[in-house]
Amino acid sequence: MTDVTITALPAAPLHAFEIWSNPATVAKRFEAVTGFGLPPAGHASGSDALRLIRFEPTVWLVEGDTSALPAVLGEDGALTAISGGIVRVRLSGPGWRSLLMEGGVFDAETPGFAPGCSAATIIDHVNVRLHVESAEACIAYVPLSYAADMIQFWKTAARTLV
Amino acid sequence: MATDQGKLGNMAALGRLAERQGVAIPEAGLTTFRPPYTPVTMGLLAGRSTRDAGAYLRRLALYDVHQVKSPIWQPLGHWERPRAYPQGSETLAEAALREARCVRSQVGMTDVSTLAKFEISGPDAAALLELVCATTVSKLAVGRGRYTFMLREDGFVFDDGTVWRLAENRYLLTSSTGGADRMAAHLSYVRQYLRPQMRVSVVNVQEHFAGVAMAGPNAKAVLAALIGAEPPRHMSTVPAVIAEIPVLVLAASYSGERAFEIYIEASHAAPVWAACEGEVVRQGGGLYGMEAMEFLRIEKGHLVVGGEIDGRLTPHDLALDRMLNKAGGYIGAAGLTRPALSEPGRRQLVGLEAIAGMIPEGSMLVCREGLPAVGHVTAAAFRVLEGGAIALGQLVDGFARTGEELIATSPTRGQKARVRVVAPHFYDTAGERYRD
Repeated sequence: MTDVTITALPAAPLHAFEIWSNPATVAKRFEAVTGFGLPPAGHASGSDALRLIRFEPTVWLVEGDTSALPAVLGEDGALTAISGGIVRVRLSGPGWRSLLMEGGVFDAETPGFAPGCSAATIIDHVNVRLHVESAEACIAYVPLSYAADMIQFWKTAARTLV
Repeated sequence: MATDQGKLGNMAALGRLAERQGVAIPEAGLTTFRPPYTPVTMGLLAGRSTRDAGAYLRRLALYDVHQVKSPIWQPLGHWERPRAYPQGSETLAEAALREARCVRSQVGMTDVSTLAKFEISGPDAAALLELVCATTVSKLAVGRGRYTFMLREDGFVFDDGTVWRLAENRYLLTSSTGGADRMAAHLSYVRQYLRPQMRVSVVNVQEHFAGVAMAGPNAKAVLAALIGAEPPRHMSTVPAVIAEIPVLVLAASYSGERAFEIYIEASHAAPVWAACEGEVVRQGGGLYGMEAMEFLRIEKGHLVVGGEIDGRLTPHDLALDRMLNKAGGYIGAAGLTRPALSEPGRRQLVGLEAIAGMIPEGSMLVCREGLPAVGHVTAAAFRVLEGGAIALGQLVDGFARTGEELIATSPTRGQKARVRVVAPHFYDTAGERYRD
């Protein structure tokens, strides 16, 4: 059994933050308001109060308080609530990287997948987003309709891994 | 390599080659690794009983709520949905007919969470929708909605749904459950490739919102009790609160009765469902599943993607052409101008009523025994209150054949029925039951 704890986190506000015009200007406004920059592809940035993960070329997943973001976007983008459709699952403990190697092809054991990094991949037929929270934990964002089976898959896999 | 994409046959072949050469497989050489990367099992290829063989069936946000009522589950578009809620020793047909009659006479409620849903916002939201939808959109007032349908570039209808103007520059588009992934890909193609310059955001909120539909003559009273206000009129939308949870109410009907769809953030769906069910039961109603929904929509003549909308019919074939955006500009408008699409001999949507016998679903329509098929039955049901077998179908030159008698035959099942061609609307053709 590998040393990993699988925890479904409580529902939290999640939004899609999309920029359709003037990305450089929006990025400056964003940094001025939040104190950190918009993360590039494959990365996340922010804090527990407000975290952004690059989701698509023009879309970021926002976790936390979004009250300042409509003003940041202005006429250059839109903010859309998506939290109902996503379950956050924390994989914590020394074995989380080994667990993520099961049922997919993403190399979670590469040192390059370090804290602050994010990825989108398929695990056991399910599209999953990953965010390396720390050396000891990774958050997986799983579609609600697959979450129960995905968590069961991970629990079963964790029991069989050595 | 065919259906296994090389994941099974490839390794067997490489093993045989390596054995012949007396070397290990890597030394014999490997073929190029290409998607799909996830192995596909033989069990998945074998059929629907693939629980442990392929991708998981998608689970409703309200799965546990339904499960305690022991419904008959039905696989649909990667989902499992309640097909009916039998009571006692009821069969599926008995349960479905009871549920459908409850909708026609009192009120029923059902889970519509799986419908495709997209939130489209930005100054160019209406322009994008008028490209994707073949009906007008931009004339909708805030708080109003309409039925719409979408064409492929060749002019054939491939999906339908409703579009709602939630705010000045914010719309909700719904479309079919089974076509949800295809619609997501289509919208992405339009947004990213055809109109990358548009100032618009398209977000798939299919799973964000769980949905409850309630329908029937008492539906308005049920909703009024739940939201403490006058419910919106047909094809209008209002925000409201049920069980202290914010919801979005859409007044739309698939059953032919006064009806509402209530959308809730999925993580808060259970208390809203419980409140709705409590009030529905208090006002003499109950739950209904997919089978009853099918009876109701067939009787009303509403279309379903995969049945009537099978990708081979034009708006004219489906009698939807009067709703087309006269200004054009939508995807498929150019394709529709091809002469072949307006020539005689095309299959067209018709209604069928049995002269004698039950109408076999999926059966062929023939003029006489032994002659070639001139169409087929897309969906068969009963008149919910009056009884009698009815169906929808596709028939060559069907619009001009009203009153004609045909045979619906299914040789593989040894079933047939004499049927008469009628209009594809069997219930409330004037739409008066939608109105207050």
